[in-house]
Amino acid sequence: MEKAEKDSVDKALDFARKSPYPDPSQLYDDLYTDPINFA
Amino acid sequence: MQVEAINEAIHEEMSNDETVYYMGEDVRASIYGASKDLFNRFGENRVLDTPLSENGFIGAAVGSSLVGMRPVVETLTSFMWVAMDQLVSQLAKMKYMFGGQASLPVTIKADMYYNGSMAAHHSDRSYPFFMNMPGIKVIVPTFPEDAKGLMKTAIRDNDPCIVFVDGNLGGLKGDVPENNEIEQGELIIPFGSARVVKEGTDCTVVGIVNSNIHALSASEKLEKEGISIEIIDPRTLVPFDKETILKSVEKTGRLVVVDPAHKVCSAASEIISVVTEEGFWNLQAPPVKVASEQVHIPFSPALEPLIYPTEEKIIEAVKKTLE
Repeated sequence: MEKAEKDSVDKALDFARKSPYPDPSQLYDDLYTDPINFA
Repeated sequence: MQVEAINEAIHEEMSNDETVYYMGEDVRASIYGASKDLFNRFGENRVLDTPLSENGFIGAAVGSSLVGMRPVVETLTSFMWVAMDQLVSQLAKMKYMFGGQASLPVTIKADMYYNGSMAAHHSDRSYPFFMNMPGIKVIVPTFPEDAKGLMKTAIRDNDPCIVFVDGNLGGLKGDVPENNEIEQGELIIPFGSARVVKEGTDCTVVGIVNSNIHALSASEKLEKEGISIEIIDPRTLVPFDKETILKSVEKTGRLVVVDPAHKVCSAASEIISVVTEEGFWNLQAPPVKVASEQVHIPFSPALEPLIYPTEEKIIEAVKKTLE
């Protein structure tokens, strides 16, 4: 079980390290289901 | 009455969707009226009496929403302070922190009982705190029809919603259309859509919850002096329908915002800020804020009435914009 958990964390870390930084346009993504314009 | 309209909304939504359940302190006995007959109709698995442990049961609501339930939690604004960890650190932030993988369709029905010698620990009007917290929708109904329609929308919404119910309006009477009188078959009021309570030409008065009732009575007196005010109820503060208010100010050139919350960083502060930034050149006079004094709510019946917006304060504010 410990190995499975460690593999899962390692996989997530690997994915995060290989992923590009988010685009600035994504700043408000996932705050609400339907975006709200606060501007 | 407003409380009956809210009760009707909850009955309808629990009937429509088996994932909706209701919980709170003494809700089976319906101490505050909004949960009347829910226990008899939907039973012990869907109507839960909770211990006096807001952080615990709001945490349970957060958890159950993550696995597909749609909890409706009844509480009082004054008791929400002890649940701020769950409300703010979890409920408001979880969707964003999980990159949109979590959905938290939690509705909090937050009753505001003030103006009845309930003193500082039981008189909170705390919606400005939650306007300041991204991730939560803030609903502030005044009239019974809106209370029902917005409550139904909140329960169906996939984001955390706090419906702030003004305890002074529980007995407010008003027409609520029957479902068979409505084209789409039921009363659903979208968020971010203000109600023009009364049209007018000389000054725009934006009212939050009970303030709309004071604004209506102020309007009658001002009419006798030849002053016509336009009253707007935003109905939701997040999302906020600024267009209706800006359009009204474009017509009247004047703005008074009436808000029973404490005046510093109130909803009124934010609304005046928006109009000043985006509608400045339409203003003929500085906007006026009529909000509660920046002091704790005293128990004393001699002192408490000095705190809140009143009809007289609204009349004075409107006249100030016309000087």
